[in-house]
Amino acid sequence: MRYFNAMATLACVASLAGAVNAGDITLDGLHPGKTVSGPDLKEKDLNGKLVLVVIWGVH
Amino acid sequence: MAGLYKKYSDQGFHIIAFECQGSTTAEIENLAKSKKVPYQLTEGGNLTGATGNGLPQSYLLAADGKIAGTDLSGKPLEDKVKALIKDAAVVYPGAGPYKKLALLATQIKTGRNLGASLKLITAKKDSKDAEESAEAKMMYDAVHGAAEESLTSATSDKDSDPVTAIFRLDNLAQRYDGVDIAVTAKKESDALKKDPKVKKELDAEAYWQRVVGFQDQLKAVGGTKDPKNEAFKKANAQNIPILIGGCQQLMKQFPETVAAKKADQVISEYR
Repeated sequence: MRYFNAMATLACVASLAGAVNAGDITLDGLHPGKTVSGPDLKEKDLNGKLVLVVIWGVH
Repeated sequence: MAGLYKKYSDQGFHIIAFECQGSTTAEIENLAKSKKVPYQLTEGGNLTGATGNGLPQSYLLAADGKIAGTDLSGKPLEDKVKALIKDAAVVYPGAGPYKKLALLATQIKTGRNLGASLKLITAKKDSKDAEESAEAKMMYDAVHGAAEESLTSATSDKDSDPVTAIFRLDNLAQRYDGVDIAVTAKKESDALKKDPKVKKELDAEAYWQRVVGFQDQLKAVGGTKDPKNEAFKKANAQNIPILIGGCQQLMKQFPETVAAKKADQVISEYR
């Protein structure tokens, strides 16, 4: 078990080095799409706001 | 989330939710009506860099456009919104109405280059045009006053949550570049970063962000990333031990940090 954990840790360090960094995500990459319900804000309206982006599904 | 939106939407907080299962417009509309969803629901939206694995996912983007948190919910989400909302409110140039400085008011609402805007407003306070001067004074009080409030609020967080305080102070320093607010914010941030305990928290947080990035890449099964779901565990049999190993490494390298506590929580969820 100890050996396994050590191997896992090494693999993790290697894998994390190439992982997508959440810090790369910015408002510039946000494209609202077509509004179905609620306020219809476009890219330009979101500048300077505190924005919570939720990715979800009906089902 | 609806409650959070109603509470803070008039202060510069916005929620935008993309439907990404290809549901019909009618299905989304029906759900919005039945659940009385007050915020913006869209179809065909996207966020570059979001992995798309597992639903729901969420990303909190601060007023300067940078990411401030991922997959936050409940009290941690509200605490973060409460801490960052003052920075979003700063972008409003005050009540107005503005006639002479309407273009400047629009620029300020973008939240960009606020330092340059403040310099311009300061100069216009001395304008020979009385109407322009009066508008400039009103706008200066609104923008500078809100910036000072943000600075006070960010500084007051430095003992309880130094990582967030540094994040906010660095944002203020960048957004108000060239004016007094930026100088004070940078000074406060630099002093905090020199504190060995805070530096350890910052390094731990940077490692934690890589762990979160890795965790985001785990494959969802049947739309779920529930760590207790057998199908999910089977599909990610190779990567879950790597995730746990990364968390263990974080806890070993940065004991007694906020990130270590979060890593410990992840381990208990995935074991």
